[in-house]
Amino acid sequence: MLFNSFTYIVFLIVAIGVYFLVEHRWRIWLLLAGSYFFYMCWEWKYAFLIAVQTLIHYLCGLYLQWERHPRRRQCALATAVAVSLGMLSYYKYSNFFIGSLERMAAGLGLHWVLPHLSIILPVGISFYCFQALGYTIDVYRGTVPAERHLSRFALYVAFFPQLVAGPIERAGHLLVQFRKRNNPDLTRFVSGSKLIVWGLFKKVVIADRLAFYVDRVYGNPDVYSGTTLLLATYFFAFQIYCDFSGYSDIAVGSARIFGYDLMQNFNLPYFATSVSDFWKRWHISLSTWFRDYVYVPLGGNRVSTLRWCFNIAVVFLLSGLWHGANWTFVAWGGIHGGYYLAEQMWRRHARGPVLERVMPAPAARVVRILLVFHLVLLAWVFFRAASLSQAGMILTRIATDLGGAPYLGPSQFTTLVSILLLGMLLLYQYMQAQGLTSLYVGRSRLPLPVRFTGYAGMILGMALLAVPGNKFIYFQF
Amino acid sequence: MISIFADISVAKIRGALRERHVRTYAIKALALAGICLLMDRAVSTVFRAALDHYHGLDTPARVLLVGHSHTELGLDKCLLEQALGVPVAKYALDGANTLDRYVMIQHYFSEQANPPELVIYDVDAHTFTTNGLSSNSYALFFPYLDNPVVDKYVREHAHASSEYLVRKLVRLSRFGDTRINAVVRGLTSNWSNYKYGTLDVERLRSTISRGLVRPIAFDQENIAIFEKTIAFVRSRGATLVLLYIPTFRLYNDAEPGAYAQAIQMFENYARRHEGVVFLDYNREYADHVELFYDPVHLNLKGRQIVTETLIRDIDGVVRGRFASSAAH
Repeated sequence: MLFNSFTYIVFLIVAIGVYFLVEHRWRIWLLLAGSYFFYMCWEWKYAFLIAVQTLIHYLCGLYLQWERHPRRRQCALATAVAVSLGMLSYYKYSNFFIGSLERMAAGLGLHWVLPHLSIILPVGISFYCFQALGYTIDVYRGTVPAERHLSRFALYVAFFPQLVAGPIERAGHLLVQFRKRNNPDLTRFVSGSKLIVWGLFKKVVIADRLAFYVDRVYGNPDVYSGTTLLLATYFFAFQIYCDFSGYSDIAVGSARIFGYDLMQNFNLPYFATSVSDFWKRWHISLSTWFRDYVYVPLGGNRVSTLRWCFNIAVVFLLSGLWHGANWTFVAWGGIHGGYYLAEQMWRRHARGPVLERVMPAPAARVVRILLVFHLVLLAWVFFRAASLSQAGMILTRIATDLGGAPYLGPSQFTTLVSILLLGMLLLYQYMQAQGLTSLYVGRSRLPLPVRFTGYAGMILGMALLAVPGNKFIYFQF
Repeated sequence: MISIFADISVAKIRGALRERHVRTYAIKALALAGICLLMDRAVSTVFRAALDHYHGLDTPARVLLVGHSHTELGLDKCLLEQALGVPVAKYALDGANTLDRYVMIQHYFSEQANPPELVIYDVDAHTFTTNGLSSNSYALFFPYLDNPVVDKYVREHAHASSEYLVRKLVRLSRFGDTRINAVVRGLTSNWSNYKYGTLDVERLRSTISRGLVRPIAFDQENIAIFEKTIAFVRSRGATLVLLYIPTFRLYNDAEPGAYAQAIQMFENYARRHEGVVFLDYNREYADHVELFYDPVHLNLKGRQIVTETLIRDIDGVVRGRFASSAAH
């Protein structure tokens, strides 16, 4: 059941209606049943995986709450980690490791043909595994108490708005909300609905439209010029942003209507003024998860410089690998790790901001934003390319073949509409950056007629320009 | 007894509705719905008028060009109007199959009090081939759901009833990118062909050698629909010209037997039916690579030359016909 489908809208409306009709004590069970139903619409067999993860982490949490012996606590935690990551590794990385082993053997002159497993990647496994694991680690650390009610914990793992593509929630933020009683709140209903509409607009009008061009060019990159490949890469930067942030907005909006607050996952990432700033704005739930559960346990920055570099490299490489079973994702993570290290080293050794010495502060800020955007853009080539060699070919061609007009796609009109829509998106994001409007917090400062025209424009824009039926990119992770 | 439902009484609901912020939101919601409805109707009306103008549905044409992209790119409606001195409508939809074209002709005839007297219908070797065409070409007709002929066709062929219902209710959802492109052209009265390039023969040769060309087939269903189309046009007293807008020789020679069979069929139809003419422009132009943008579509130069040839060939038919109708 895709978020951008009529079926989901019907499901959501029915779920909301029944949720507020039933007594409070039944609501968790209702949401749990609805969440499992939502997931089983993808593939009913994989609901058992969520159930197994839920049970293991629930029991582990209770045990950790009760057990005081340090070694036994560590064993329990290790078991939970092994089960979660073991499941994730099996379903997501088995064939990747087998294939990599074969290639490595071939490189050494050995001809190995290993059996590949016939596995379908369960939707959302990367997200709910991390979410459940985060809970167990928090209980181990003593930052959250273990949840005694299995129903609440099961809902925490399987809550349908964020089950398949995040945000990756924390027990201290989401689980505690399941204990409170929610009354119907019209303000939440309205703000949640606005977020859903905005998320759908970004997905079905902008992201899926850009996908026409990106898929065509990246599907056969050797026949296109550097200019065309560059245009496709720019489009991909916005396609993945609109796709993923659109999903997150629908998730946050849906949860808000029920009375639950999910964490904000994106905060105008392409307005970042540094790489570290970018990672505080892009897929915030994942970057903070890696910070709290990988970087900090490794020692964070309270170690020697060499060890700190190692910690950063591990975090970014694992983050890349989390995204997919392909060396291109690892390279993408590695590139961002390189950027981050270079930036931090620069900051340590530079004597204050450099750009502000040669231009006014506002101009310097724009230059930084453009620089960071293009660094991120370069890395996106690896994220989107099918292989490392293809990514290399694309970058080489962009660097050496930038003459001439770009190919405008099988429908030039569609491409021009895409560019126009990107302009509108950037304008709206600029207004958000200036605080004129925000769908996440606070009231808009725009007058009511302007806001209403905007809402009507978005709704009718979807009717006119929507591209139906495409999956969200992050579902494959 | 286990109570499942919350304590919701009519009095509580009334009380909630009386609250000021609830009334404010309700008014805002109604206002937004009203604005959406008005904008939907207003914009879709403008779009529809522009589309009608682009396809010539807004004026009673004496000559109707019907077909798919071969007609869209291959025939210059403005040149035809200038030369023939009569209004010409070009009703061509990218990807329209035989059934779509039958619906298009019925649609056009149903919209005009004085239907056209000459119908120029583009044919090619794949006219009777189903394989390789889109299975949802009915979507091309969404903007015309208000017409009974089109409404019936879409309702019967839509993959899901929700697809039909949504388009019925929300008028702007009837227009997709290709339709919006036609709307913009209709608003600017622009029927130009912007294909300036020429065919890459080597790439075509490679495509053919790899067996990637769509095979020609003679599906009985399509043949039956084609014959119904002929009968319909003739029953309305119009002359039907089956026009083979040229496709490149190398492409035609990929399946010489099937190609020859298709030509023979069109010649037979012209022989058997009075008021049906077959014009095959492959004989004259299929070898001229400089006229083609791709194997099956003409570029700007090709369009001009083929249209001038068509004017030369139908001039006699048109003058005779229109002179006789003027006399009546």
